[in-house]
Amino acid sequence: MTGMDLAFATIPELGAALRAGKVSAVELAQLCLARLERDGRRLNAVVTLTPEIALREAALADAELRNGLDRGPLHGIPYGMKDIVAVAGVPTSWGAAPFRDQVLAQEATVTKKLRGAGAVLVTKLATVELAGGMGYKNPAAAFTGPTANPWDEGCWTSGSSSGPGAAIAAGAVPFAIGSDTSGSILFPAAFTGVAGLRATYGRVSRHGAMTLCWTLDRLGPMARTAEDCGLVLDAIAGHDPADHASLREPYRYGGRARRKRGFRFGVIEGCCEGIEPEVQENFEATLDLLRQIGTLDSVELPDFPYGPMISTIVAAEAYAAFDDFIAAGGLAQLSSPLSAGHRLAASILPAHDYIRAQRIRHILASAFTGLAAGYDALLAPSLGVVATGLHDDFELGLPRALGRRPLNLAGVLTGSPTISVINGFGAKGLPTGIQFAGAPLSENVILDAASALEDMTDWASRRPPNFLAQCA
Amino acid sequence: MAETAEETGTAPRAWIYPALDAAEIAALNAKLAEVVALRHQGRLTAAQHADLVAAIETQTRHAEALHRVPLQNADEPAFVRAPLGDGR
Repeated sequence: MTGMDLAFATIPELGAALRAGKVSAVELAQLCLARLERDGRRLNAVVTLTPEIALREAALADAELRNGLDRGPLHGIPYGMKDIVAVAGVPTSWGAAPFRDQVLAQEATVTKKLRGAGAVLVTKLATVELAGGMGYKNPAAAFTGPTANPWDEGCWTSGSSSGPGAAIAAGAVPFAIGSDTSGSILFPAAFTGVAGLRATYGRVSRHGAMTLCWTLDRLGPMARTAEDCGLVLDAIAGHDPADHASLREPYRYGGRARRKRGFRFGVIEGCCEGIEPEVQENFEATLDLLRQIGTLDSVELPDFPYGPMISTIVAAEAYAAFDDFIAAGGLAQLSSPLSAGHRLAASILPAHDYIRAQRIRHILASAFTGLAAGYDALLAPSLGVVATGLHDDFELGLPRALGRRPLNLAGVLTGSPTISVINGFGAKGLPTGIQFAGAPLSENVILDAASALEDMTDWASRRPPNFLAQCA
Repeated sequence: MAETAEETGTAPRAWIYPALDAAEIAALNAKLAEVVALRHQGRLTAAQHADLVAAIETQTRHAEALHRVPLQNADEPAFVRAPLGDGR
């Protein structure tokens, strides 16, 4: 394999090359570090490179393989961590200027699990400040600046897992850990054409990650393919006494024995209302493909005030999680000029309104689970638009203003799993995404369905033209 | 013999959260913005105050939407206190 092939290889391909002795873990780490330094920094995808950790962990991975100790699919594989997750001895900035020098004493559980699986940390990756939880209306809402999209550097990656999306799409890391409170894995995955998995709430411990909303926050993998996401989830899932919301149900990825056909899909009625024509065109073309491997029914999402529910819950919990910071005037130090006034409104949000949103959420969860249980996956476009301008305000017509996306919000509110994978390119060569949402704990089913779609196309293996240069 | 209330199953009266008209909502939002501004003791710029007012208007509108969903007394929120404190 050439360096370029390695830069855009999947986890199984890299693992095979490592075990065949075609490349070492140290060489892979060096390749990623060089691409992050050259391309990742230009994209504003990088917060902190971790070369000392990377080369130490990679050397250990090589030595272990030589001595017959194989930790599994992630052994020797480089990765990036969204900078809201703690790593020992490295700043964890939460993307926000007031926290840029913060070094947390307690390492995140997900970091420990990845180290135990033999993965090699090469970088902390950019995030919208405080995971976007204080409100923002422009991609510049991070002290590292707006993260550019490798498919068009004049466009944004979406957020808040901006760095993970950009770094994977640019061939700078094969996978990364992102976080999602109301779409922060799905949206960057859609804009950058990578795969992003928001697993069932509680699948992955959040211990050591910044809290935005206790009842919504999830960590999850972003990678080149659905299979890669499954392999990473396998390594990071599991109960953690340090995260009381973590599930006791074990998770194992089904791997290559996955199902290829015979799926039952539900297509969300109205999911294309108001979306851009190129997104709709790709979605409909994808449905034609999926008809070859399953049945498609039109289904209606239960009627709930999704937007008001999510907005109320996020406002109350995000304010509570940062109330000292907010009361002390910290919002004014953030990059987003919107946040200083916007989030203050939550200071007078009545508690009963928050609890009412949570009570409705309980009813929604029953209704949605009943619907999702009848299908292998519910389908909708991941976002209603292709990547938007790097310096455009959202009010000018953007991801949050366009497109109907309640399937995402239903998945967010019910804690059920969703994966976004690429389903084509728009008129200007920008990727579009499709989301597969399932019933709680059904990750392997939606991963199978998404993998089956990937097997029918070459979209996931395409590379952004400006990132094909070799590193010296 | 007369039937008891338990046997007849007397339905509870349906109480409906009152909806405010546009003028009432505008007055409420203005007062709420004053409260927040007081709490932050003049630290808000004009632009920040405008963002605050917009957020309060959205918040009030969302609360109205939430109160149009009928709930029963015992409908519990989506978080439940675990007696042992360690979730499931």
